[in-house]
Amino acid sequence: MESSSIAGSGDIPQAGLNLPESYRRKATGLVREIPLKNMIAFSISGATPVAVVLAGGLFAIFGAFPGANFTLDLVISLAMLPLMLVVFSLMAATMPRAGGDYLFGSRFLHPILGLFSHFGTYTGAALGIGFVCFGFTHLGLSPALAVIGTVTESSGLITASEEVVRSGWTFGIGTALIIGLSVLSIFGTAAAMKWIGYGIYISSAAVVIGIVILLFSSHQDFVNALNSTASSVGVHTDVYSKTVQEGLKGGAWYPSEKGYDVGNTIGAFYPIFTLICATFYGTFVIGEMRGAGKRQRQLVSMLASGFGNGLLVLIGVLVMASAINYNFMVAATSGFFALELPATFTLFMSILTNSVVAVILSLAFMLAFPAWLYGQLGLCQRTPFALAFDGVLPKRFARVNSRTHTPIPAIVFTMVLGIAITLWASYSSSFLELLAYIGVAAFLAPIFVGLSALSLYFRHKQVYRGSPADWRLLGIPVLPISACGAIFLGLLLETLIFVFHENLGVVHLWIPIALLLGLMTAAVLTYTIAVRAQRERGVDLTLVYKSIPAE
Amino acid sequence: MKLFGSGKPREKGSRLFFATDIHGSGACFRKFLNSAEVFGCDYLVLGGDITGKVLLPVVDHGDGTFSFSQGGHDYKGVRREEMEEVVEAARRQGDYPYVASLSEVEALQDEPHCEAVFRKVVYDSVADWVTLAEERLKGTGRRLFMAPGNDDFFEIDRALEGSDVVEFAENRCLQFDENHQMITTGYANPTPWDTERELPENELRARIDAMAAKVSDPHNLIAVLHPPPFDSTLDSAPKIDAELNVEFNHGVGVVTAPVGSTAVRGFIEDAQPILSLHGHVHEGGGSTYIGRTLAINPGSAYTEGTLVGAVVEVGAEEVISHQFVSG
Repeated sequence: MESSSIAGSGDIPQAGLNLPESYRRKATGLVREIPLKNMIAFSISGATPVAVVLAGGLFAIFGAFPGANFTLDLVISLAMLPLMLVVFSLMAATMPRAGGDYLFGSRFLHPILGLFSHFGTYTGAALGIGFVCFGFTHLGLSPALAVIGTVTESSGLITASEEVVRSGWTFGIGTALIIGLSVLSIFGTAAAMKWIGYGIYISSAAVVIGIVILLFSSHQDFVNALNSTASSVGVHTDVYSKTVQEGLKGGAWYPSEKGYDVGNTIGAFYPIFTLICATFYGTFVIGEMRGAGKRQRQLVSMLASGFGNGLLVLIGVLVMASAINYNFMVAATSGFFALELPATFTLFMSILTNSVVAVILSLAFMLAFPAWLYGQLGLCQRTPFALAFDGVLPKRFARVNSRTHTPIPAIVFTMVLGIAITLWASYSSSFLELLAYIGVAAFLAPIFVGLSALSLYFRHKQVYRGSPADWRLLGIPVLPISACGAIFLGLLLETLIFVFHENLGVVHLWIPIALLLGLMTAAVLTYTIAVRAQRERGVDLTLVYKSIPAE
Repeated sequence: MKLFGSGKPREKGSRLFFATDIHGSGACFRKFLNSAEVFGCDYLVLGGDITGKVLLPVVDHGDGTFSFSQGGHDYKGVRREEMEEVVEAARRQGDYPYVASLSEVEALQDEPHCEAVFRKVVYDSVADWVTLAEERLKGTGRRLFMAPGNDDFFEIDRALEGSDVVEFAENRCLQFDENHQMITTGYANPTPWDTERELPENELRARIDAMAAKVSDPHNLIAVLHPPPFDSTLDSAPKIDAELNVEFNHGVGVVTAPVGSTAVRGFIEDAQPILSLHGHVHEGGGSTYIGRTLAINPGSAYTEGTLVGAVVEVGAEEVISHQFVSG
């Protein structure tokens, strides 16, 4: 028998007595808690790699939202992050089972709404496959080839850096990545999976090193390094000054000249918040972790990873603005860069260090993409399980191979779907257009998880009371407040996509509207067909979602 | 519509509700009793591990106020209403409140005494459950089968036996319905926790075989065997080391390993019962076929106060349908 002292407790007052909180007997499943640092690490591994956000995400936004105050948007994004993460954490801690928004929505709202939200999440993850493959060539491979070509003075590699961003190469390389990771998934090689996870940490470490390099470099150091790099590739002009001047002539928006544009600052909030908020995806798999049912640990792991990534991005932007200069970044990413090299964080950081470090860092950045892709593939592969368990999808969708213990049908289906989406993404207009469609689908989740949380609070008191979601700060219940915050945030982000659709490269508004209608239609059809098909087998599917009274 | 399986014309069978590993959750047990009505079942089968793991001491100051610590909060001199609200929430999750005087609570620091108190509290709780079952099910015609699991103290067997409503199923071959017999054991293969009812695999197999020897028609047998079959996907649990640390892989999260019983698997492969029902591994919820045998583990979510179970309709020659439910 052990007495357990939960963090923060220990003393029961009255004459200074020291009594333990509870006595726990030896029983099956009693294990040491997974260290909090591992939970945080797992949350981080499910988030958008910081390297991706800095390496290109922000740079793509400069040109699309001229005059936007990115620093302000980042600060506001960090401030609003808890609105989403808190409600996800509390709900995941209350129902620590795989299924995420489907589980919450189907149990506390209606199965169709749970499916609608979850199909949105699934679609966001599936589109994310294309997004990551697109990003790999444009933001990872191309800059790495450019850096290596520059330091080795290889015109062939520099040419290759321009070639790989063409649609055909993007599709081919992306397909190879998808197939490779799918094969690894099938055989469930634990060692391979471990190194994929380490890819996130290595790329994040590379970002930190890159930021430190910039931090200890003066602006003049950067100018000198840039012009020196230009000379090495045969461009003997002041590239820095030329870029800035060309940008000014071409109408690039320099905040130092024109101030910030309020409208575009509001619009840029969407892509910035989207890139740093993906930590919530971790809740969908967090149920398998011991300790997921503990509110404090769930909150700390999600907020730490979310804020950790977000703060790193903010610091990176501030450091870049100082060392590289904001106006130059705007001009370089708006098509005025006076050098035939990709204007990315990778390049700008690399030129400030020696050749060996530059090559290592640019290769390390690339590791973020396969690691992130693995996460996107995994999310899609897992979706059938919760649905098949409930009987909404046929069990064959979640069949696990007896030899490899992996869900081969789900992996193969995801692979084929991913390749198809990569084909579309490779020929799409821009990085941001993909991000827009991802957001339309994926931001249904905070809306419906928020609604589920409100339903839990107001209509399922018996489940709520005493659960991890039953948390008060200064006597005020946190769950309904954070739920309203998540709903507001989800609606705001969806609205921004439609209002700023042109900035995001979404030319035809009917596409995102059709996407939403398609998701709802799919949810209605899936549920209706499943209910009917199961009824013919003598199974009443509605029983799955029925409350079982205790009294 | 054959999308979800066989399109054969439906026969009517016996409808059972199976849940397991409720670990002392009062809410789950009360829901279990009501499940027969909710899901239209004539048979209720509660798998093992029905008792909880945690004793929650509550000091009764004798003046209408109470003190205890729960969920990281200290409750100091609170009134009965507040105490009961918090304690009820703890009871829902399977904790056993022990309301006693200060000196009695202090005495719990003596381990043998604490163990004895724990066993008594658990026994009383199970006895209360039996009484509740009798109140709710008497005269309904519904049958309730219960058996302890590897985590359950031996003392509770006495509380489960001798009831008109609860049919104590441990180590017995019972006539389930006109077509099927049922054997049950809550014993498990060895675990790192050295629990009450564990046996080496060969002895576990012998125990199961001894029950099966009394079965007249093995092909229509329902086997309620607490540990899932080894390497069946129903037995995937977090992998732990000798210090009970969960093995963690930064790339994929928790590393899992099969922890089921080879004896159970061997028995199923040899005897091919029509249906096997399992528990023990809370994370292993699902179903699979081993030959013709449908093996089911509904898993457990007792910590949420949520009852997870399986509604199974068993026909004369095959399992007609099954689905997982929770609420």
